[in-house]
Amino acid sequence: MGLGDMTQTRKRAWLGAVIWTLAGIGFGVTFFMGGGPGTLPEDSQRHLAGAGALAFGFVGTWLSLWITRHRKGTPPISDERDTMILARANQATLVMVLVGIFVFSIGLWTAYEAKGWVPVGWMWFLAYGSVILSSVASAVTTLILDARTGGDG
Amino acid sequence: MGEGKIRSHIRRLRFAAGEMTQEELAERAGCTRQTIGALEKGGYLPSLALAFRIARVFGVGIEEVFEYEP
Repeated sequence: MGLGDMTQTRKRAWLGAVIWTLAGIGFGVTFFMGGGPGTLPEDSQRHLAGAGALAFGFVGTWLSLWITRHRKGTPPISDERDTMILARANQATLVMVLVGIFVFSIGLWTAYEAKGWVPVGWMWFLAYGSVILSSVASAVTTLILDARTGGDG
Repeated sequence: MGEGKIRSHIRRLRFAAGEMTQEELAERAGCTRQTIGALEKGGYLPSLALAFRIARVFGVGIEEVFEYEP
């Protein structure tokens, strides 16, 4: 099955999963290479690279929305099933991000409790990571729900 | 009370209607081909509005397209 035979929702989910996974890998490499959270505040190159990874994700998302837009005079490429899938995916994503932030925060607390302070670089990781996590989780959940409710028919 | 099950007769009705394709039914009912496939597989339950539109395409009542099994 080619990309052309998919619903708009499925195409966007596939593209989103690929784009944000790549952005996540880029961000992870930027963050952990060259010292991790401890040296991040003084490293403007890594700040820029991390922002570049996020920009790649947002520009890629915008391009994927434009590429997969509905053309006038063509059959519907999304309907009520897609609306239902996206609504459920959003609900699941919200829970995953909340759980992710909770677990990460508790993890930081556990790891740095004895020191009494947390490297501020981890806040940068939390901010950028939550955007990437929500985007990947949303795309993957959409693909799972699409497959569970009939897939490509 | 259990939820019961909705059985779809879309595939049979399509073939009875001159082997209408999923694409054609989807276009006339105002949904995607994938949703018609999902309905035939029983993976998705349609809204009442879509169920009525599908029944209207075949010129039958909604209960001839979807059957409730308690």
